[in-house]
Amino acid sequence: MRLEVKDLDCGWKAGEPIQRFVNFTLESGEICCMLGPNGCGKTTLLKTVMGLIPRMRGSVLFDDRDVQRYSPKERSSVMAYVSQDHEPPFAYRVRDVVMLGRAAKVGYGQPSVRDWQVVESALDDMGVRHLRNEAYTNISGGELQLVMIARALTQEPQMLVLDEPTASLDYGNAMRVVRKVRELADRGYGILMTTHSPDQAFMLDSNVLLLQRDRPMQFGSATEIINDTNMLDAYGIDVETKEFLTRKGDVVRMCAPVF
Amino acid sequence: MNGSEDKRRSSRIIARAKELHEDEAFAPARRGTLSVSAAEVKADVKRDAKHTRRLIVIFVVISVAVALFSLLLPYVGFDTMGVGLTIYPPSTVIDAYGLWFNMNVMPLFDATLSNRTGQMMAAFVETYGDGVYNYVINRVVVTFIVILCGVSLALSGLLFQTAFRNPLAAPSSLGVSDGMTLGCLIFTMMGFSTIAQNPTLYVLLTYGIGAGSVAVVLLVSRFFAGGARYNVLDMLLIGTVVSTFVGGVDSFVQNFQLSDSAWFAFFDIQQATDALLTPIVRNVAMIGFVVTFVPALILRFRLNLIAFPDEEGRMLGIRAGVLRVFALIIGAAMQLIAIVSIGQVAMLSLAVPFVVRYALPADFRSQFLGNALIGCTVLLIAVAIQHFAVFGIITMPVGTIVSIFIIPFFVWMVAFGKGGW
Repeated sequence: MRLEVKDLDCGWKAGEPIQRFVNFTLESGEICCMLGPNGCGKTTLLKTVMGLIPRMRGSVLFDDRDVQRYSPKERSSVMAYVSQDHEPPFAYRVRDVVMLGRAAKVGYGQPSVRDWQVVESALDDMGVRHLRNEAYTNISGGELQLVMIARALTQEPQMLVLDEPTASLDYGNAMRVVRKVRELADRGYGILMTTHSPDQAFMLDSNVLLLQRDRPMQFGSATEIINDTNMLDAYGIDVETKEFLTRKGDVVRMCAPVF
Repeated sequence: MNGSEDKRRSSRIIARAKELHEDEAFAPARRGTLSVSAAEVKADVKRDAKHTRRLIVIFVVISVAVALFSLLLPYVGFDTMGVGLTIYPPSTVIDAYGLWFNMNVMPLFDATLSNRTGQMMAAFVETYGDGVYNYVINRVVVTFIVILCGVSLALSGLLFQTAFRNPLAAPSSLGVSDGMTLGCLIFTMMGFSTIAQNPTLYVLLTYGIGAGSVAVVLLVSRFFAGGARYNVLDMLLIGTVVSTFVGGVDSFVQNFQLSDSAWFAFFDIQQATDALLTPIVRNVAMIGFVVTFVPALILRFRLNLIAFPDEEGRMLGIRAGVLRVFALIIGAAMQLIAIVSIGQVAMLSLAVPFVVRYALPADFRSQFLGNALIGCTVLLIAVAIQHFAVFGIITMPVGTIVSIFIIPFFVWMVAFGKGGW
């Protein structure tokens, strides 16, 4: 797959774009982390890229075809979206809510054995198969996030769009989700996600799309984009990026604020 | 930039690129690799469904038992004119069914029997008296229609509660109920005192004005939504406004335009106390049931998505907004069919989905089945009670019976239940 965003303007109010001239590409196996302060239009940009909000200018091509020309069914088979806040309407069982990812593929009939196989495999992949019969209103936030990613996987997409997958998760759960995201990219999914943590972009070894208010966006590898100047511009925080070796001998890069 | 980090990063990128290049065809297959076998899934689904299946079997047994009881119920209860209750023993009822079988089914196998149907009938009339046979056979049809209405009422409640994600969303909120009442009022004002006097007109007026109210709500909400799309909250709000307006017209007419005797007639007609006796009401109910129930049955998996925000549904590949409006229209139609046939029974649409939600998984398919079974059972019981509980000369409306018998259960569920909403 190849997602190509060219000179995109997006926003809710006509004539007042929040972000202008957004340019980036995403290919199979790549991760693109969107960074930027609150209210700079990360979610708006995600939704515009997916074609949920009409764009103001520019183009979004998925495999050389305009995203807005995909029908909902076609789109669901190439990209899957995990929103920031999922509000459970009823106490669905985990496996039933994951099965809804198959809705477009099931069509007007009922799920088949193969559909259940996809559901169970996705739960297995995300390491939450033991929760299959739990009510998804009763599981923890981290588990819910993994379950919602599992639902996205059952669409058998090529690209995953994750809106702040680690928001409101504790440190352990956040790291577990990050590790799963890395695994998914290694398996060939293209992943477009937003995050508030520059460290996660380093951990994921991803590309970074840095959005700011009233400044042009920047796109490049995490090591290029995440530096003291950009962090100060975007967040108003003075940081130092440091590298160190872990016990296992891996090189890890992190941002440390300087107060 | 750190040299070792660079090297590590570039080697990783090269390795990944090589992998993707060499195996472009393999990559999507790898994405789609299933770690769980079909046999394992079948075993899991079977094991998981055990509890649910046991509950469903219990529901089916109860429903069938109540339906059989209703078929054997030996009474004459429709008479509101002071004749009172005539009771037939079950043996009479069973003999009547036997006679029907001998007259209609047996001749298919033995042609000579068809000449003797008159004889059989005469023998039956001699033993049990005139009219008994017709009454008993009529019971079958009435039971059948009551089952359809019970299923429709519960499912319409389920559809509305799911679409609005609110246990208080009633199918009457789109104006069907007040529209139907207005139809009954006009019918009364045209000088009719029972439905039997002109059932065709009754059907036309109630269905026409009931459906008309819904159409007005849909049109106005479409206008408010800027002609682009329906918004369910707009629909609910406008539905309430239209219902209140029509309800106001109803009570104005009731209070100032009706004589006392006409008021009693209106009450009877609105509660549809003799609607089930007329063939046209039954036929329209049957056709309406097929038209509304079958699409809901086919779409019962997909209808899960009306519980989620439209955007989520769209990303899952379904036009959820369209599906929700469709569900509301089907739900309103189901409600209309039931209240025209058996009178206003709002409580059933509210309580049955609520109770089923405690018992069965939230998945719409389980809820659909549970509501259909419990809905028809509750209504059959209510109609049976109605036919025994003759207070003075007035038959109690089914709606009142359902309210009296369901409310205590409802309160009990709320007080001692867990989970649910």
